[in-house]
Amino acid sequence: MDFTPVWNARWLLLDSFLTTLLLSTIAVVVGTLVGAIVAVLRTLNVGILNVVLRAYVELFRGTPLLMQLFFVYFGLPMLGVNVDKFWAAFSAISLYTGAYVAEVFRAGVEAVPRGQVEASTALGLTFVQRLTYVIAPQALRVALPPLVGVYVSVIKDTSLATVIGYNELMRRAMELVLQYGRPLEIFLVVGILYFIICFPISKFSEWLERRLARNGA
Amino acid sequence: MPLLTMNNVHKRFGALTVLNGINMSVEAGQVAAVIGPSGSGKSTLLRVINGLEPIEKGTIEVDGVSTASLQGLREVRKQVGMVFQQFNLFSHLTVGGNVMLAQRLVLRRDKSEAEKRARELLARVGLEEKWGSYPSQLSGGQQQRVAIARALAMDPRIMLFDEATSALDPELVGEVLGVMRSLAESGMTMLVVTHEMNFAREVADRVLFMDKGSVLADGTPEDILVRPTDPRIQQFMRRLTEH
Ligand SMILES: Nc1ncnc2c1ncn2[C@@H]1O[C@H](COP(=O)(O)OP(=O)(O)OP(=O)(O)O)[C@@H](O)[C@H]1O
Ligand SMILES: [Mg+2]
Repeated sequence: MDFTPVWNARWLLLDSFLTTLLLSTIAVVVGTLVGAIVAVLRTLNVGILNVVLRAYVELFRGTPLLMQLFFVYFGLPMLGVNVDKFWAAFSAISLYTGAYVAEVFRAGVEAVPRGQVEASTALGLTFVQRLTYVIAPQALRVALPPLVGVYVSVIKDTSLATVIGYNELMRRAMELVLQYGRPLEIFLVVGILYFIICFPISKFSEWLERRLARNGA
Repeated sequence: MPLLTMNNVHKRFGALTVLNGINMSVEAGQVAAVIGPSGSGKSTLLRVINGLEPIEKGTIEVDGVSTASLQGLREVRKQVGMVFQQFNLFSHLTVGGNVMLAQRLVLRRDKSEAEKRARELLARVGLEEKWGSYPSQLSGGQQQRVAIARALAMDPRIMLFDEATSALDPELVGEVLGVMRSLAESGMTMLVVTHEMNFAREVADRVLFMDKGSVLADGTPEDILVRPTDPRIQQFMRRLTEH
């Protein structure tokens, strides 16, 4: 093994690592926010709103992220909407992740027994209080494992942002391999870098799961 | 003035009329049992009082406050306690947490005050030692007694019971009926949907017989349960005693 090329390219790799980290953070943070808002709005059960939200979820889950990136970055300018590559990646990744997260949260909300929500209504809790103190804690426990699955898979998918010119980790790795050979060493290091992003998320969720489990049998 | 008044209350589910012009009132301190065949609208009668189901027509007032406005409904929910067939305890909270939650959030009691009241009420239903247990660790009868304590913690003016013992194993029915009986003796106003005819006869001041969305008869337990004149009630009572 010869890690010299990797070492020589360390700053380039770091730069790409940060790009991947940025895209991953957008996916997790903004995607979760979008998904949570959609899931909450869907509990309101307003006819027309439900149709729109459902269409959003189905559309973004039913098409590849790659296509969505192309659509936003190359397609929208045709309609006169110019989107730079950051906002293109931002919107496509957030909306794509949001659609998956919304479904995961919805399943969590549906797992909360209706009777408990009615009991809290009868006790006089407001909509927001019911959501915060009765629905969310129980829905989250159900949603956590699949949520982590969504995060990890989307983080790996951020490599697709390469098609709109992002020098994220995978693209950089490929370039370095073409330039220096040494695919084994380079992909080993890149794999570790992905792992560094994904592992804390799994760990955090394990911790949260344990905590939530302790607060209720 | 009656504590609860329902005037010409109509409720439909789609094409199905479930409450067909209910007129009735309950005086403070009164215990009224509601009986009637399955599907006659007994649960719905209770559920419209605190707005778990909206009504199409008519008015409902609790202690002079109408449920028609959102603000009125909020006030009414504070005055009306409800106990469900399926207990509906919050499964992620302990017994203490269940009894304290709405006190904190709705009545804005501070923690020590809410805890004091919760412990009082749990002692009253005989479950003070279950403070830290989760609902899944309790028997059905214990869960239902916690649910009663949870409702009482709001210091309601009236309590609604929807077949509070129907989901319980026979040997656990007695402990819950016992709590309900002592609540009635303490002067609580109660509207009790029940299939327990002995309880209705011994505890209720009044029995309402519902059929197809209407109150078909309203009288003393003696009138309705022991010597009913209406053939539909006679038939209902006969069916009950048959099995
Ligand atoms: N959410 C709902 N949507 C549609 N129909 C409903 C709904 N809730 C109740 N119903 C119908 O309304 C009618 C009255 O129901 P309700 O639960 O009030 O009867 P009940 O007297 O409590 O019966 P039971 O003794 O079986 O509990 C029934 O025909 C029932 O199927
Ligand atoms: Mg019923």
